Amino acid sequence: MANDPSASLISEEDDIDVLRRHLDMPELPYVDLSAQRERAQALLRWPLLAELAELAAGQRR
Amino acid sequence: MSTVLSLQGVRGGCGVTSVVAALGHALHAQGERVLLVEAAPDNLLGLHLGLAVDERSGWARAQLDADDWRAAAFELAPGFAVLPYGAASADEVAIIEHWLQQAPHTWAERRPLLATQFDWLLFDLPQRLPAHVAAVNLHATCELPLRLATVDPGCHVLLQRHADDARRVLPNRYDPAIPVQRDLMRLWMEDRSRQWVPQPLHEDACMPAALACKQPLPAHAIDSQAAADVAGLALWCLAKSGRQRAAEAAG
Repeated sequence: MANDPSASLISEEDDIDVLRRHLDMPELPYVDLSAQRERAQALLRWPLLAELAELAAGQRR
Repeated sequence: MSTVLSLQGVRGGCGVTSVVAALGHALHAQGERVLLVEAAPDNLLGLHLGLAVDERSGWARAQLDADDWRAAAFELAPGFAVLPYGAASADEVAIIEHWLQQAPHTWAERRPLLATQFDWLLFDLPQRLPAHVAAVNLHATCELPLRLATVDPGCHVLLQRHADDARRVLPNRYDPAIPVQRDLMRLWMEDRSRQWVPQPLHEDACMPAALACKQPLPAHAIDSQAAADVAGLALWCLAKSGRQRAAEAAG
């Protein structure tokens, strides 16, 4: 393990990538809840940004 | 072999001319031979590089006067030059726009000659002159066509309205102490529907001060935050161009 370059983790996201590789499950669903929460709070603060996000989501659907 | 990079604001006042001057200086500091071409009729680029305010010559002025455009370039240092637009009235700009509609391959035809002398051709593009823009982005095989966006709600709206524009976006004047800018940058970096230049440029009082001193930013304030950002941007451009050339050589 000491020689495994993937052991030198630099962020939480890398941690998840290592886990995905280790489990051989690249499709493992992972939701970054804290990023989602910060995004939702940002949209709550700014009505224009929320309206635009709503429009973009509508266009993707 | 040269690389063409163009920069156009998402709207007016994003700071395109300042960034082109600063990036050109930073690429030259990396040992690259750089020509800055002002394709916007403001005729301001030369001022960032020390030209006189009343300097009238440039490639568009040469076209209007039936002179040689090559004589309108100014050498700033060995391997570093600027080709200004030149002084032109609104009517004359309309004449140049019409001429570029008729001769859209103007820059494409000039490129081989410029490529013998420069590694980089950096174009400062205008907002609302489509033939000026197309002559560079569409016809001159621009390898790095970029858009510049200040981190504000107006640019956010315009980016979304022009969602089909595939050019990479470079964020400018980012101030993380301003809450709405911090939130916007978070949304932008998480937005996978668009490609970003991964080196945002920070808001920096040294930027307008550099123009007031008639110098590109890295020459005026090498230790400033924005100069460090521009140096990072230059390295990204070099890496990007190197990868593109390697891909072309391979396939």
